[in-house]
Amino acid sequence: MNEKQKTINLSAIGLDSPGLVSKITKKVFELGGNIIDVEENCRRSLFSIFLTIVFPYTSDSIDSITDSLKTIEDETGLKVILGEYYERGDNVSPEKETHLVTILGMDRPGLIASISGFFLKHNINIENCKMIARGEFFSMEMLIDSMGMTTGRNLDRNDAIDHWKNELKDLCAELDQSVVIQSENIFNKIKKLIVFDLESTLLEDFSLKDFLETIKGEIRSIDNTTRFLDDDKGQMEAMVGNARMLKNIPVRDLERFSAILRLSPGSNELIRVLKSMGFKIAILSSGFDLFVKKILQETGVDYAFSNTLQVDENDIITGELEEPVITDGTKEEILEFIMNVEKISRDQVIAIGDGSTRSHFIKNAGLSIAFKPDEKSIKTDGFLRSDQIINLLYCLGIPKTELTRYLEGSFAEK
Amino acid sequence: MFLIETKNLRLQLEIVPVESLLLHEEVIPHHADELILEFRNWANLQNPIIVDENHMVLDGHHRAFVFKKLRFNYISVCKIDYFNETVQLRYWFRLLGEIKSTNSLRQIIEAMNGNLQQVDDGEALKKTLEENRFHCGIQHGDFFASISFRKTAVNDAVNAYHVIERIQSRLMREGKSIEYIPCQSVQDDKFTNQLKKGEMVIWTPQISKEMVVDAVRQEKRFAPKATRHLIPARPLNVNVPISLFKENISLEEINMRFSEFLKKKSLRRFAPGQIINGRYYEEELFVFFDDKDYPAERGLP
Repeated sequence: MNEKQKTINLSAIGLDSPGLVSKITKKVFELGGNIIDVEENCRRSLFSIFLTIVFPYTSDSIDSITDSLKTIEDETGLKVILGEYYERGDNVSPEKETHLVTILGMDRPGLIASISGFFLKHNINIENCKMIARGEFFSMEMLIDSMGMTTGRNLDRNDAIDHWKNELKDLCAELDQSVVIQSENIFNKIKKLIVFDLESTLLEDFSLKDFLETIKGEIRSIDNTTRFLDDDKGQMEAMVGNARMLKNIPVRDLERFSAILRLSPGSNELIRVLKSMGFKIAILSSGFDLFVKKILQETGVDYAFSNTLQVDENDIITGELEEPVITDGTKEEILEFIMNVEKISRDQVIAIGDGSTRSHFIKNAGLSIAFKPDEKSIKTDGFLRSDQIINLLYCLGIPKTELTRYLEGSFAEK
Repeated sequence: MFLIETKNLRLQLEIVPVESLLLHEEVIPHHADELILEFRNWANLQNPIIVDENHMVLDGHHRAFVFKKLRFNYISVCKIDYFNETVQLRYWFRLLGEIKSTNSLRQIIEAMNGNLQQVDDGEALKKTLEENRFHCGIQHGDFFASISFRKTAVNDAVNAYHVIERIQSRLMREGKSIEYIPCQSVQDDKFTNQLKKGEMVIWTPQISKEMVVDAVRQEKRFAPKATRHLIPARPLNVNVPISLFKENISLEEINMRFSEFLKKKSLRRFAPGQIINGRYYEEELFVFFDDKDYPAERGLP
C-alpha cells in the first residue's frame, strides 16, 4: 500500500433502517474516499458495517476526514467508530492458519464465553463467528486463525495444533457439546462423497440388539457351542468371522430377521438431504447382505458394500462366504476404490463411524467424524455426541438459510 | 479381446460391429428416445452390452437399438456362453393398477377369441404355465387364471408375447398404469401379500433359451420386456469414449486399441449383493477403474 495514502477504518452500528449503506457510502464518495474492504451485516434489526477506506488524493488531515465521517452519526442515527489504519509491522506474519470450528448440542448459558475464553487462552484469533441454529438446539460456526497461538516449550507447531484441538474437544465434551474442526485445506475443498460405517452410525442400536438376540436364539438352536461377544456392534463382524455357524439354515429363515433391523431416526432424511445437495453417498457394512440388503436398497445410496453368504442350489446357506470378504481392515481399500471410481481426492471425502476398530477407515478421509464415540475411539476431526445423526448437516459449512431450506424440503417430502 | 475368467463363466470383452448385433425383442419407444438424446451428448458408454457368441443381445437391447439408430460403427460387448447353465432366463411380468374387476380383461380376451380358465392359486398357475409354454396368466386379488388362444392365433413364443402386448395396450387405453416386475418377485409370498387393491398381474409365458434363439434365427422379435437374463457375473464401469465407436477403422485395429485401453485400467472383483452407482447387483461384479496417476482415456487417441 502507498505510504502517503491515508487509510481509515470505519465501523458503524445501530438499528437497521432502509438506505443506511447508501448514506454512508455517499459520504465516503463525497470526501474522495475509495472503499477497499467492506463487511455489512443485519441481524434481528441490528445493523453493522465495517469499512476500510483510502483517501489517495486528499490534502485534508486525518483529523479533518474523521470529523467529516463522524457526521454520518447525525444522518443515520448509527454509532460510528473511526480509526487510522496502519500496515502491520514485519514482526507480524501476514500468513494465516485458519480452521473452521463447528460446535453443536443443547443450548446452555455460558457456552460462547467458555469457547471464546479457550481461544483467548491460546492466543487464537476468532475471525468470524455465526450461529447456524439457536433454540433448544445450538449450533455455531467459528472461523479461527491459530497463526499467533502460543505453543508449549517442548512442542513443534504441528504438535501444538494437535494439542489445542484435543484440548478443545475435551472442553466440548465437558460442556456436553459436539465439535468438528476442519483445517483450511479441508474445508476449502468441495466435498463430494460421504461414507458411513453402517453398524456404528446408521443402524438403530435397539434394533441391532433385538436382531442379534433373535439371530443368536436361532443359531443356538442349531449349534449350542457357539459363543457370542458382549459388544452388539462387534457381533455383526464376529458373525462374519464365524459364518459356518449359519450352515444349513435356509435363506428364507434368515431373511425374515432382516425386517427387525431399522435405521436410526433421521438417517433417511439425512441421506435424502445430502443427495439433494449433490453428495455421493456410500455405506460400508461388515455384516451380511442377506440382513442389510433391504435397508440399504431403501436408502437409495450410490454405493453400499457388505458380505455375501454362499447359498446352494436349494437356497440353503453353505457356511462359506463369497470372496472378497469385507472386514474392518478392507473397508479402507473399498473407500480407496470408490475414490478412484469417482475420481476424487481424499480431501473431498467425509467419513463417519464410531471410531472403534470397525470404523478405523474413517481416519483416512479429508474430514473424519466419530458418531457417539467411546474412550477407545481413534482420533478424528470431530465427534457428534447426540443420537441425532442428522446433526451431521450442521458440520458441513452449509449456510443457515440453505440448510433450513433443505431440511424443510426433506421433512415436507416425508 | 479382454478375458475375465469367473468361477463358472468366461466374460469376453471386445468391440463388435453394431450391424452384427441380433436383437430378439422390440424396444420401448420413449425409453429409446431418451437414450438417443443421452448418447448424442454422452462422452462414454459406461457398461458393455451382453451378447452370446453369435452377437445375440441378452442384456442392453435399448443401447444396441440406439447405437444402430445413431449409425455408430462399433459397440463394446461382453460375450458369454448363453447355454452355460449359470445363465438363466427369467421373464418380466406386468403389474397393472386400478383394475376394479376382471370384466374389461375378460371382454378383451373374448374379443380376441381367447380362453380364460380359473385355477386354484399361484402354484397351480405356475404349473399350468410350465406345462403350456404359450399360455399366460392373470392374478387379481385371490383370483388366478390362465389365458390361452387358438393355435391359429398363437403358434409360437413370439406370438404369445405379442398377444400380451395387445391385451396390455387395450387395457392401457382404458387408463391403466403399467409396471414391469421380475417374475421371481411375483412368485414370492411377500409380493402377493403386498399387492394393493385393484392391482392385477399378468404372468407372461415361460419361454426357453431355445425359443429365443429360434426367434432370432427366424428374424422375429419378441414384444418389449419379454426376457430377463440373469447373468452370474458382469463387468462394470468400462467407460469407453463414444468417439471410439464412430471411428472408420478396421475391427482388428479397434479391438487392439480397446484391449490396450482396458489393460491400463485397474479391475476389482466384488461378491454379489453390492450397490454400485445406485443399482443393486445380485451378480458377481468386475468393476474397472482408472489409476489416479494414469487415466485410461489417455490410452485412446
